[in-house]
Amino acid sequence: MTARFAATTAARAGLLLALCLVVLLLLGMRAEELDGRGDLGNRLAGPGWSHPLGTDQLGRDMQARIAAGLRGTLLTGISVAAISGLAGGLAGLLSGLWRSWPDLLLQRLNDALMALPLLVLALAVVAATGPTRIGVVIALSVAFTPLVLRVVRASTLAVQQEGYVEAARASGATTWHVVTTHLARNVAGPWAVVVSTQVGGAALAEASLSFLGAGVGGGGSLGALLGAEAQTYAFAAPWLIIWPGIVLALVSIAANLIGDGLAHSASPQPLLPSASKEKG
Amino acid sequence: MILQLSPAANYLARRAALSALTLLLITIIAFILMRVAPGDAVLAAMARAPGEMSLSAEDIESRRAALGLDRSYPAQYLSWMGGLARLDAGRSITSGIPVGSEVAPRIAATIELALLSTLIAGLTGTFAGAIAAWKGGRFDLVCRTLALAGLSAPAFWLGLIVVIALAVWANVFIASGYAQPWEDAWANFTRMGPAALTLAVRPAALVFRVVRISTAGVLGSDFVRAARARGLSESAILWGHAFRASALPGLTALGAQAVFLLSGSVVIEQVFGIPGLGRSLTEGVLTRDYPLVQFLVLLFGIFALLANFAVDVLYMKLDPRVRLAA
Repeated sequence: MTARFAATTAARAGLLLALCLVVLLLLGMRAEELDGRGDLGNRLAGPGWSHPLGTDQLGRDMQARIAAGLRGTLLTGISVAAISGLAGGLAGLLSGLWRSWPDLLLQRLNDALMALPLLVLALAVVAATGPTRIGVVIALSVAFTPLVLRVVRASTLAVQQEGYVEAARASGATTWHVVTTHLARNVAGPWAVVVSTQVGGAALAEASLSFLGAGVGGGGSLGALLGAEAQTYAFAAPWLIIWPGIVLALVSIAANLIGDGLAHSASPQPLLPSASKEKG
Repeated sequence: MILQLSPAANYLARRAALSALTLLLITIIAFILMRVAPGDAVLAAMARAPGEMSLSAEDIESRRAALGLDRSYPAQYLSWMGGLARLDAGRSITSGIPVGSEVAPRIAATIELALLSTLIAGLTGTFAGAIAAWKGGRFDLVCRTLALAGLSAPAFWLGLIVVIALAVWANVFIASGYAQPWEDAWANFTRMGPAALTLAVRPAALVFRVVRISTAGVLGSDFVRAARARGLSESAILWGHAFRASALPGLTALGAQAVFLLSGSVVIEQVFGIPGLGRSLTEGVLTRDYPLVQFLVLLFGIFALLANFAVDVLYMKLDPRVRLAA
């Protein structure tokens, strides 16, 4: 699977993009060292030689601020994907294996959580946890877990229908053996696709929360850089809004491409039938 | 069973019963979420108005008692549900107005935004998807790149860019507020148009992807080959045969996006200054207005369930296989 993953165009593009983001992060950290507190004589300067991405209303270098924001965004996105991936993965696997009343109860709860618009749910949880880094991670994990649970449970059910699993069961294999050899391998593909995509989804959702005033403030994420402060100066200095948004979109694109690559390498058939060739 | 239902009606009735159960769970989730946190509406009001910081401990207790916040959680939940049954969702803690009257004038804006975006996304996504699969080549590549960008760009950021670009380059400032379409159609269009377009970008991109893949699949299938062998023109094959079969998955994708549209409307309303349900929710969350947020979460849940239900019904109408399987 690893070889197939690396062979897909989507995976290559995604990994390349992720590498670019890391370079951006390192360059920004260098800029941060050079100009930690900003220079007030150079406020709202457009992109130029000394500040490649311009400066903000306090003369702080935008490249440095974006690097700091990107760090916060990646931290949040990866934490949320890891927590919801683990919680949803385990719950989905167990729920799909032992289909009795806890499964029924969990499915109804999951349906209810999924019926709520993601941001509405996340906002309501943030109201409870408070707009801190941990509060936001908890809120987004609550909002993102149901999808992982649904995907993992569905593929657990599907794999159990397979002939080879029935054959293993019939020949006296323990549940543990079935889980570790058959289920884990076949459920891992769809699980990895969802979780990798959720890094991008969580980054975008975090930005929306920040934008609404319910996220981490003070430049602690790319979304926080797009908050009310930047909007005040947006007409005079559009770069305050443009750069963080583009970097945020790149994070999401990288996560989506890597997810696409995983989906390609996890599914046995090519996703797109080569129909257009037959047309001629 | 005394009542003999057709299989389709039976299926829909089962879905409706499940939806009711989901709704009940949503009320519990909404209720619990607003209460697990430290602090409450009285403390939040104090933090907002520093003049009232001098409230003594007894004052705070009496205010809590007046708002009913001193009772046990089950008692609070039951009284809320009892009120809902009598169509009374309580009063907003911040404004003192009944929640229903506070929310009612805001529903139209949010629904119009969601419907307009659905329409825009459905039309552009489906047609672009079908044409991209049919033509391939450069057009396909451009559409796919745009779709990837549209999927990845945060909706509120696109909105900000639209607002800034219009103001800086065209000197057009989008007015905030909402005008009823039947009262002032032009004012309604100029306010809702840019917002709906921005909100439609992501669902359009998703519908495009789904329709493109399914059209490519259908174009390679036997009945299309047969149609081609009969000498039908390429455009007759695309619009007469392939399009109908490939639009269905697009519809499903669009239906799945209904819940996203409600989510997206929260931020888009903030960007474009539209006084809709999403803005009420944001304000309610920041002021910890329990009755308001509880009611809005419930309302968003109802909208989402209705949207899913509508997609089910539409799908059964369009796809005979679903009707038979049900």
